[in-house]
Amino acid sequence: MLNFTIRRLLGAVPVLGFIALFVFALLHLAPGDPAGIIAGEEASPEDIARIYEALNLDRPLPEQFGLWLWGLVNGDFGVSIYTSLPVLELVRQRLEPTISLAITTIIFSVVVAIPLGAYAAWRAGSLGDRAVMIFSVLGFSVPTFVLGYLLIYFFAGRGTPFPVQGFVSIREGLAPFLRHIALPTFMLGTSYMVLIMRITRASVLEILNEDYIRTARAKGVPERKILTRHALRNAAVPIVTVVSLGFAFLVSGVVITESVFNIPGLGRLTVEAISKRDYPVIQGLILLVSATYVLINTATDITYAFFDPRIRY
Amino acid sequence: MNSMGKGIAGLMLAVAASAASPSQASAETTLYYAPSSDLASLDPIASTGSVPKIHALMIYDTLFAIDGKGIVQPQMVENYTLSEGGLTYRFTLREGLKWHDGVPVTPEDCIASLKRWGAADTSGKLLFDFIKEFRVVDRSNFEFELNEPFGATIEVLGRSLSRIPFIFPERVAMTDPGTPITDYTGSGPFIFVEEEWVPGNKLVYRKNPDYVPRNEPASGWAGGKVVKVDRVVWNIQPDKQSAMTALLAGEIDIWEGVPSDLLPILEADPTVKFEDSTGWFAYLMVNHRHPPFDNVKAREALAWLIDQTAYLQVMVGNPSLYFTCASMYDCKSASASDVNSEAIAGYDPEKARQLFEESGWDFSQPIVILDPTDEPEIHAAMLLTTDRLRSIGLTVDHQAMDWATLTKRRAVTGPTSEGGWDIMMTFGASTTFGDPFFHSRFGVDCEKPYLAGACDKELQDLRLAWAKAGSHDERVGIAGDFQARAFSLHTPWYPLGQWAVPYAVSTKIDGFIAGINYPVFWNIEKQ
Amino acid sequence: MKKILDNPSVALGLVIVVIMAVPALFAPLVSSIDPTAMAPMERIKPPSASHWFGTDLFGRDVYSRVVHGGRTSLLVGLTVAAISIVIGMVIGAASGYIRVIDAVVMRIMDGLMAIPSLLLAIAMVSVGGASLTSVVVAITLPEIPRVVRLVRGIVLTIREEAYVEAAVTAGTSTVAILWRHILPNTIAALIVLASYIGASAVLTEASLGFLGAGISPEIPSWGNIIAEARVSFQIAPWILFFPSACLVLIVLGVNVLGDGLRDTLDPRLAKKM
Repeated sequence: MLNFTIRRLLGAVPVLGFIALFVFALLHLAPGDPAGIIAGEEASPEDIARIYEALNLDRPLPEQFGLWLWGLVNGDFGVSIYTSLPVLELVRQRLEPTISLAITTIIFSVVVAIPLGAYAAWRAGSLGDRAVMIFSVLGFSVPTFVLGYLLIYFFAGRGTPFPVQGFVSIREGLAPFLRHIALPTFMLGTSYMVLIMRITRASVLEILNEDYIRTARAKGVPERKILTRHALRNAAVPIVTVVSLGFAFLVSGVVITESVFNIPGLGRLTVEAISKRDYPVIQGLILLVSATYVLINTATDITYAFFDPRIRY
Repeated sequence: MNSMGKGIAGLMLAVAASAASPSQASAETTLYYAPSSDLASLDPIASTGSVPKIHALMIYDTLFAIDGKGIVQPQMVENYTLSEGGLTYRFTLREGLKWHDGVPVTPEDCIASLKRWGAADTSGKLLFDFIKEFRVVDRSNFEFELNEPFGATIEVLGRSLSRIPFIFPERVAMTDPGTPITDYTGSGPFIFVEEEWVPGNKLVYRKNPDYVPRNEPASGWAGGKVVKVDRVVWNIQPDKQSAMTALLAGEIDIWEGVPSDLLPILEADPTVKFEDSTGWFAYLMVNHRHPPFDNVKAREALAWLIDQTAYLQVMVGNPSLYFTCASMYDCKSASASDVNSEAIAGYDPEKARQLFEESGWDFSQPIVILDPTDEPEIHAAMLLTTDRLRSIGLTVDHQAMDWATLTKRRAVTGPTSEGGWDIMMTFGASTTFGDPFFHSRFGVDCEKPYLAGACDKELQDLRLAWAKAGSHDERVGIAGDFQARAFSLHTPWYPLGQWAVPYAVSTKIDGFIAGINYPVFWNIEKQ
Repeated sequence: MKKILDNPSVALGLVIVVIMAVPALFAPLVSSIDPTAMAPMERIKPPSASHWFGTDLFGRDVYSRVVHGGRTSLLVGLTVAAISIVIGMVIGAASGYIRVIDAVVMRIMDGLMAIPSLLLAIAMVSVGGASLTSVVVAITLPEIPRVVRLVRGIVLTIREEAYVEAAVTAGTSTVAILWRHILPNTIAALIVLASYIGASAVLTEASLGFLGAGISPEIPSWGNIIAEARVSFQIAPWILFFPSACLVLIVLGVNVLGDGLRDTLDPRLAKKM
């Protein structure tokens, strides 16, 4: 078991190395650089050249990559070109809104999706099942930003409990926190919820057709008990997989949600950093997000291996 | 009434009493401001951006400053003298000038700051060409000596707007002008609270309790900078829609950069009022180095294709906010005139097509247009330019990019086949277009060609003559000569018109100093 | 074929897709107004007889832009689906069949999957410029690992089958085995996956446009129209409404079609996708 865990974690190192090189190369191939933006509208070409040199952007790329990598190995993610603040400090400032949104979204989606999915499977073919399925296709097809604007248009602003934008920390009270985060959670959660709902329905449906369920039914075990004790429990593995693998999916959604609701989180930080070519910030952020993804993936694999010794990747 | 009811009634009375008492209500006032965009740098010398200047105006002070009428007034300087013969300027600093860390401001600080500015700024460089040496006289006096008299010395110190000559502590001013500073100690009326800074989201300033304002009333950037709030918080709002709702909800007090299409919604709201801004001046630049626009005929052709009303309509949209201006200069300035402006004022696509043909341009060759899609006004104007060029049969290569890429692309001097460009556009604060000297975009120096590569010896001489001129009338005359020649050569750029979108301000705010390039936060009271 | 069409989801999905795709395909016939022609004095006009969907911030005809924008969106959806399936199929088959390259290829795929696709796409568009090509590449790249994994999984199962082993023993070349025995078995799954990829590509194109990192705004696309309509959506909701509605409908149609195909072609896929 320990061996397997270590092997999986070591296997993640080349993956992260590939990501680091790929992202670095990609960004430095991009036209445009921070010097022109710092210099501002009225700057002359000489002004820009002077800043370019001062930022060490004129050094050869392999040297810049080496310096960055060396810093990483020593736990130093570098400093932002624009603010001279450490990348990790910027991440820390923006972490809370994003984590809050991710947690509320996961709770909301799971709490709504699993009962609905299980119900649809249990009453497969019924009107209720149809409604759930239609909702699930619809939820998949509406772009998150369109949903966001619909929510703002109909449910936010004056005369409603929901503000149009912004984020309030949970430390400033549960009520204001929930009022601010409710609509973003709904916007981000809808497509995530639909994903979980579909998998729940498919998995439960499959298990409900298994022989032992039929036997249980024949023995007169109440339907409610069959659903909760047998079907849902056995469908748990694929559902957990989707919930954890939905991480990558959440990240993309977070970028747009934070932009629509003006939430100062990591998603917005990344988009801003890309548009300003703040290389150390983008590189650090993408690497951190990817590492989290790889870790979650590895943890999921290890959990499987733990529960099912046959699995050895 | 039971005891709980009495308790509530008592509480309500207490609340009512505290609300009525002014000393309690004004315990801590915070002013919330949403700038038009995030700031790229906190260094107003390394950067020529406008938002960095708004930041710098809060935390730094200047030797001179322009007042509400545009006249240069002493600010940190108590008074100055000019020696017989006009060669030596001596400046006496005001009493009580202190850095935010409590250390007094010294002449050394001022000299080092001027040197950093003079090494970077175009007009600063020109002044420094005349300066022979600086001398520290004593703890509050310093002077500099010129090689020959330079009439615009005080004007340059007080009116330079590309880079304002802010005064930094000497240790900060020793930084290379290309390296953004990281020590934000100033001597201005506000102190930057670095610990609360969340880049891209929030900047916090608190009142400088030790700041000694001048005795004159505040006017423009001059006079007494009396701060009447405790804190100013900048709330960066990347989305205009969110910014508007934040203003309506009372979450911000001053909003700069209102999209004109949203004004009707704000006008209908009783909690919002408007304050005048200086406004903007837009101009189109063509690359003079390569065909077609190395040819004066092609440049004239483009002038006939420019219809300022159409540009203003797509950029601004609300006719009450814009006006056409067929002059090289801000039409509200003394220099403005309509000499040689027929092609700019007129719109004649047929004539434009003919002139393009006469210039020998091959219509199947692409004209490269740079479009920064993250700058809404420029983006709109570039789409219109493409549409208009195509309407007369030209081939256009409309290249969309972000601003970061554009700043790099526009510096490419080669032909379009090597990544160069033909047409681009920008805009700046209209007051910086009041003369042919201060704005770097008037640059036509053949030895140091500017972005557009425009070059004309006679125009360059006129610029210098303007700076050296002794009287206002003489300057207006030279400005007229400059426009006459520039418009006859259709160089270095084409004016596209002017507009001003007001600041949207909460009705809780009083004492906003309107009508200068950038907002300032002293003198403002908040209920 | 008849059996497939009997599935109500397939039929419904097809109807929606056809209704949405036909005007886009014949855009120049359906709308005679140039979608890029500006009329600065006619800006922000609500829907009327002369402008069915109103005019936008530049006085351009929204109806014409939505119809032409549909072309761009469909083009993006189809190209991304086709390219990612073809490339993914080749890499997946090779990886599943040839041990040597499997380890390396799968690490690279893991790496690509670990980078959030939208951020990767934004970064790629900033490299390649706001052209149709770079947007297609940026959306395709993160989709490839999904195809590779699916194909590899199927290949791994099939190569153990008796008839494949028999072919190997008979000395059939690797390419021939892949072509004749293995790839045909992946077709059903790939058709279904292609429909999902196409639908999500249309959405991603719109998201990129929304974030200002999409196709050159000179070319009408639903993403671009929606992005430009953002600022004015309270005063001119029609500019946002029409392209959004079209976007939702076509994605809905393709998704319904995909679900139907999945259920008829291979019900076991329900859990894999």
